Amino acid sequence: MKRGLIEVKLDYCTACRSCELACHFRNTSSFGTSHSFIDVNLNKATGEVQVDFLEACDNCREEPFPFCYDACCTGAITWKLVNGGK
Amino acid sequence: MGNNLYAGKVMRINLSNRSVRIEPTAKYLEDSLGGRGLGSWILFREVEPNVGSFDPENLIIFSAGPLLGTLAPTACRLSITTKNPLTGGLCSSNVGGHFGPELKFAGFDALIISGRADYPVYLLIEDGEIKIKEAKHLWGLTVGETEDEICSQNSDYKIRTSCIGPAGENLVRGACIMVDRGRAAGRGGAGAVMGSKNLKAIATRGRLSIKPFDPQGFFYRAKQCREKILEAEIIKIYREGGSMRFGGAGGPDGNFPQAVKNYDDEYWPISKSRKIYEKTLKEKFEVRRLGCFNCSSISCSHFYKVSDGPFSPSAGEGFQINTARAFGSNLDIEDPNFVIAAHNFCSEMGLDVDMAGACLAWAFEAFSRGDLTFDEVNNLDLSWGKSHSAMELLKDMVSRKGFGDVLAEGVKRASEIVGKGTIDYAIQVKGADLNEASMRPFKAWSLGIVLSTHGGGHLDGSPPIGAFKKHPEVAKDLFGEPMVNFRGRYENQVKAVIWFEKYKAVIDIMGLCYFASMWLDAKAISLKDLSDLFEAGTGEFYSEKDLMSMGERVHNVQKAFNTIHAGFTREDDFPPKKLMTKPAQTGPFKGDVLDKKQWNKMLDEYYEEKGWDRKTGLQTEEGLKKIGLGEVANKLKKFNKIIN
Repeated sequence: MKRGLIEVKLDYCTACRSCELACHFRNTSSFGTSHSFIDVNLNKATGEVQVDFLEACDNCREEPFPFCYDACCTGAITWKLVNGGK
Repeated sequence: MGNNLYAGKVMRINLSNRSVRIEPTAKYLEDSLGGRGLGSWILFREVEPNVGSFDPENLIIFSAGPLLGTLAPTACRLSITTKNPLTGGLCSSNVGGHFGPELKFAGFDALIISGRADYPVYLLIEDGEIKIKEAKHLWGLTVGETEDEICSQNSDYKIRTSCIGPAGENLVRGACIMVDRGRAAGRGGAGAVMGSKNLKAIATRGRLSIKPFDPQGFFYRAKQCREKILEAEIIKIYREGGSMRFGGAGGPDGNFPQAVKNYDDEYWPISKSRKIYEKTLKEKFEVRRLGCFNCSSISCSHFYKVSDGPFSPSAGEGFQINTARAFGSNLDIEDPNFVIAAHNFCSEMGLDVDMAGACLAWAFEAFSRGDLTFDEVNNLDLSWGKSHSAMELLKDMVSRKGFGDVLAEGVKRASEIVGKGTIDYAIQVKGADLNEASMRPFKAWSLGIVLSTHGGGHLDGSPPIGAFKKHPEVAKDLFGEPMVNFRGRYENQVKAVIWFEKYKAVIDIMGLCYFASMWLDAKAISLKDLSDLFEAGTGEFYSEKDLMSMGERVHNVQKAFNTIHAGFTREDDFPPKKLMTKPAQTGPFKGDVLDKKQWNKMLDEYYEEKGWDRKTGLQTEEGLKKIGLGEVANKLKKFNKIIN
């Protein structure tokens, strides 16, 4: 079950993968990217970015806010509670 | 020390016999905590002065710091250390991107590479394993083509690469190592050293994790640092428009000093500079902003695309303030299409923008003076402003064709080959080509550039321009002098230069970016922050003083390497002649020059403060022993290069 709504604004994404790192940390209490539920890919020839959230992502439902949202300072990841905080 | 914050392993690879040895990282942490420190100590101990930069016995060391790959903001900077083909001394380069973190996630804190492969190879490092793979099919490819080919061959597009282009293969002395296609370990010719080893690339893929001692404590401290960065005023400018907006092409009002026509001047008319200013480029060429690993708080990089005209198509990232100077003002070229395309060309070829720009500017000046003629420079018209000639000459440098072969040696050697007094306007220090802004007006900035252990450059002791203007109280507290890097000021600047030598060494040891540090903004990541992050991450406490002492020792080790290998003395610690003899001609900095008498005074003060010998600039036995470097003193003594 996901809580709230995460949206990605690709125009703001700088492909820094702070979100991947934060998600991995939330899942493992360690640093890496392999256990992240987010997958950021940059096409280095064109500058295009793709950000995918895996099905396993629950929007950090036991946390005050999603870790990826907290880590992203560019405005690419937005999050809001919907339906009374569900 | 345990393995918290470290991958725990260092890998030694000898390309001559293809042997691989794994060692515990802990073995190397007594002298420093990693990164630049680890690389410098190993190079100092293991490479002797009779070894040339391109000899198999030279090492090239890729070393990560403890904070690299963590939640600490900008935790992406990898150090690369080797013997410098331009200066004969130290190459201590540093690069961001995603390769460094991936290397740690693949299980290694450092790679120490020696030998020379019989034929081109690349290394594939994946989750604790290494394969040495043939790279004959990659030799001759550009950086982008190389990365694409490696990813395709291994069916994995998440592989991160660190590789050389044709410039490194052709042993162009200013060849750099390109990481993630668009980030350069630019200064010091490390790409040529890789080329000399027949090592085309290192590819890495990591699915392992780095463990912190206190996860919650680290998370909290990293978040605090991120908030500091977000609040810091100068960093905000970088977040909005990168280094280009701060000072590129004259900065916001066109009055930020620039090198113009091979440093003939410090001011470029606004009618020219506005064509290359960041806001102009954003409007016409920017596809998006990009950030290195875990750098959402700054993301200083621009991805620019040239779609029309003779320099199209060209696309790539990593354009910073120095490019605008190297290929714009210093050649008097006002065509942004060329400036961007030249930058992207250098990235694809693996050529340092600073070195290439300095070489071109010197050649343009020699042509304008008649010291070089049309038929001596590959039949090119090297008049100021000629963008097509500049592009052709860049290509010739990379392939070492005709006069390009001379320029590929760097501006010092090139001027020695050409003769005719051209050394008098070769902009270099200790053989390191310079492409630096603001040298005449800002004396402390210049002192840091000239005394850099890298040969020459602002990424060592140079204090920032502007960072302490709004916070003189911080400068007073740290350096005993509130007016640091004020225009024209020679007095009381030395302590700030020495402070930044140590502090920036600490940043490089840890693996963070200067742009998040007090180098850019007095209110950014401090020594206390670094100490707190390290303690939360490892459970080990290093005070601010401990960290600065470590930085001081590393700086001294680097200095000693230069003394033993390149024989630098006080005579080498002066700026390029032109900056001391020809004042700025026009604009707000008209009349500014580096005064030799005042410079000598600064040197006296600097050596005194460092505990070095004033007369020769050499280290002293007493000074080194005082900071616990008896081993370094003994080695210098063996080569008779120390003052008792």
